[in-house]
Amino acid sequence: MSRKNGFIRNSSVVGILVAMVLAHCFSIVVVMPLAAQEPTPPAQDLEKVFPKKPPYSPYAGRNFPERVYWGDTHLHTSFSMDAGAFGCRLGPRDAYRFAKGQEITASSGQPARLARPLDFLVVADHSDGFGFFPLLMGGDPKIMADPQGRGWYEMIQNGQGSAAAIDIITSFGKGTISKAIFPVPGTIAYQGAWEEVIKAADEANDPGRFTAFIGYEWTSNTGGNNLHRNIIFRDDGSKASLIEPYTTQKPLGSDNPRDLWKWMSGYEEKTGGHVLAIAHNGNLSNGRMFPIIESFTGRPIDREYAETRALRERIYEVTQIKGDGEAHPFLSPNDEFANYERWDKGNLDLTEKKKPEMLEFEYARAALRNGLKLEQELGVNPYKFGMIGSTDAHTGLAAIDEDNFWGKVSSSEPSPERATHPFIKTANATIMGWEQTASGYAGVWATENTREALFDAMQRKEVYATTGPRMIVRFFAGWDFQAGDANTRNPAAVGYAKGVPMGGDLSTAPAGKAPTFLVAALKDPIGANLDRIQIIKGWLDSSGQTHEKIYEVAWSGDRKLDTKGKLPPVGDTVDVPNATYTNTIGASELIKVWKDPEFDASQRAFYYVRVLEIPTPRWTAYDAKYFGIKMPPEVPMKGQERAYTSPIWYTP
Amino acid sequence: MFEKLLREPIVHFIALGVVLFLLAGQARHAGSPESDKIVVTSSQIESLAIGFTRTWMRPPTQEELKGLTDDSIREEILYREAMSMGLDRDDTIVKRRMRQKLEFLTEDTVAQGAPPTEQELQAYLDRHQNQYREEGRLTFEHIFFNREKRGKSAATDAEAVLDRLKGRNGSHIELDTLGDAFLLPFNLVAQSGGQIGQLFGDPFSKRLAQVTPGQWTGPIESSYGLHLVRVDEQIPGNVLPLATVHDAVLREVMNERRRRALDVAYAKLQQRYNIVIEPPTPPAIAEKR
Repeated sequence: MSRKNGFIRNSSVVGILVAMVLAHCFSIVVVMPLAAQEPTPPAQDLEKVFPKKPPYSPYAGRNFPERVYWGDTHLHTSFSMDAGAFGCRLGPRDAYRFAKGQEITASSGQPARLARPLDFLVVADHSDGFGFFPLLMGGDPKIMADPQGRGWYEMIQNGQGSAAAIDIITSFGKGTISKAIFPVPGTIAYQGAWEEVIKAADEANDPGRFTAFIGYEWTSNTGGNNLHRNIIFRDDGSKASLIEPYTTQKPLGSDNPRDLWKWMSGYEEKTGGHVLAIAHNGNLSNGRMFPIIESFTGRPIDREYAETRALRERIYEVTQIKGDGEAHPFLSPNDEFANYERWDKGNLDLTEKKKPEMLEFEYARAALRNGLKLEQELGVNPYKFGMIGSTDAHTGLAAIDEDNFWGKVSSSEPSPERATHPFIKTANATIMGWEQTASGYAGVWATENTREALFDAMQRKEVYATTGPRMIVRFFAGWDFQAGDANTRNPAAVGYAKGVPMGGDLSTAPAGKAPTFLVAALKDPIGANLDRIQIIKGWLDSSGQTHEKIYEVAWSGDRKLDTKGKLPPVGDTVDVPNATYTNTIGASELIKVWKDPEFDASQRAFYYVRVLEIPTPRWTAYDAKYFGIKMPPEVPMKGQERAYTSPIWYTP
Repeated sequence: MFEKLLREPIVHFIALGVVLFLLAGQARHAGSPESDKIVVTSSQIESLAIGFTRTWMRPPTQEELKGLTDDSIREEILYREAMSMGLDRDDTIVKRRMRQKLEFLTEDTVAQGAPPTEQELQAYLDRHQNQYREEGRLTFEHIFFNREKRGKSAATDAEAVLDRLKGRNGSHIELDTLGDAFLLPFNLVAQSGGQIGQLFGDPFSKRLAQVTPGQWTGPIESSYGLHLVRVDEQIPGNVLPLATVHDAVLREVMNERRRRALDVAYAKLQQRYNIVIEPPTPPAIAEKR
């Protein structure tokens, strides 16, 4: 029951499809002799009810999502123990105010404001040790009585906050935080923190204008390997307050995603509410995020795992401040854009180095490929996920524009030193401050800006990721798109009428037909022009091997594909010393109908879109200019920002 | 050797400390014997037990309760000794905490005072109208002309379509056939200037706000190209009624009272002090970067 309600109840797209199917049925009914008791009404009467001609008003009957809503599903505040340790003093209320476009004072004391407000925000603080930091900072007696707690307290008092923070995070990763001092579900401190989170979200939620979701992050991090998931509630505090967040510390919690999924079912059964889970940073999981062999049992994943994961984790956070996780050059050597904002030195706390064989189980494209293989074996595809971006900022500030980047943690808020200080350093490797990625946001095609509509859109995967710019991307697949559909005045109307949107499914190919795609992108209204649209296809061949191929679909200017199907670069207008670029190259809009030229109806496949902007200055260039500093030569100063849509799958 | 030691300033310092310590002890012992008495009341023990129960989700055992009691006595004794030695002086954390407690006391009197009347809230709202103003909203339709596709003729094409729309004399023209493909909606309902700016760019939004409603006009420029527009409805922005923003105004009024009470209380206290600010010695001023 809960499944059905979860994402079908408010789904207008499903409504349209049902209406279209019904309309079809009735046109058949009119022709066929009816074996009903009622006398058959004259055909012309029925035509009045179901007219052949479209309605006078071209907008009547249109109930598909016309607007994309922008947000961040993953923001930490001082309620997260590590954020607090790194100096964050802003709580959930501040975070929502900032996301709504108000100016606030950042933890570093500087005034901060977004160029444009967001449409929605999820404050997702770590459930383990919820509210630990406010207690630690306040010198809670229970914490002071513990040698470890007292030690951290004194370090912070003596100005060694970041050393304390790293020790807290490492200790948490190793599971060596003293049980006596860690707020756990069931205690007053813990319940109080959860109530605060709920209250802040319910107060900030303003249906139609701004959506504030209740949420938290389940931070499975055993051995420093990132298996984190963000949990988002469709519901308000009347349901969310009936439970407490799930943690990873035994005996109350668990670090195994299977147990999290059980907790999610438990919540839905107990309250009649709905929750979803979004995993992130496979790149820091050291081969564990998208397993074929479960790290917890050492056995191959089974059908139950696949079914539950496909149900519970329908979208994945593919890009954020700790690196981009779409594709890796080791896995995609022919993809010249795969080497984007790469974080591949080790696991989350750099206690274990990366090995090349881990990458296949960390990056989204490889997981989508393995999903096809697993579906063949298990009958269910566990990795049939849509894609979004989010920040994972620990500052209370969802600010990742290149020219307005407030960093991963409060100690990396704008300063002349932030780029050249190590972000994390162990015996294994060092990640420098400049390696932080100013990324990303989630674009959601929803019918309105409410918790219900946005949640349902996420569940049907009608979402896409961007590394920050708010470009508009449409992606539809069907069997009958014609070249002319790209020239109609409202491509979305054609898209929904003749196909399925991003996140959808195609099956049973009509004889002799290959899938056709309508794809369109519009630049960010205050951002850079577009370089190109690519469609990335993955498929499973008859021998059980997976493959991928990148097709150049639409591009700016009069560039020509070379014999290998590669497109020459768009050019580069970036003036690094002044941190500027011009829109004299690229296109503001790209639209195209594309047909898969190598379709084999017997092979499982997925298709997703990557949209590239022209090169623009990276945040390090803006920093260098503002602070008048010189970055070391290895620091990248520009990049091509991008969007990744949810795939559309073909299943024979 | 010993004489040399006697001349060392550090030795003088330590000796002076010892003398002060002994004197302080003497002074206290000379006081009333009550100051040496520590009574742990039954209600104090009860509150220790409640604190324990809250933390551990079970009541303390006899032994644990004794431990808690002993520890609270120990804390009290060390606290008194530390205070008598003046260890609280020049300690930033203690100072800050004391200031906070005093400010809390002042704030408490505000919270316990009579709640603001509706008239007071209304008066505040009247004084701060700009903070509670709802933005004006527009409902409009538009037709898009893509400059990348049409080049220089985009503007003349748009004007030709505008002439057709103006000269149609009531005859129906299918809007869906005019202009170019566009990914944003063609009719937008009750959107604020900010929302329109986010979709089309701020200059477009500002121009649109100046347009006379009810007729096709343009072309006006957005981040994407040219648009003919027809504003169908202007919903003027207005000050929100108190009923709508009651809680927000109440919060602000209480906040204002709190701030004022703190300032008034401080001003009174400040009068009792004679404040001398010495000019900073040159090295204490940061050098200009």
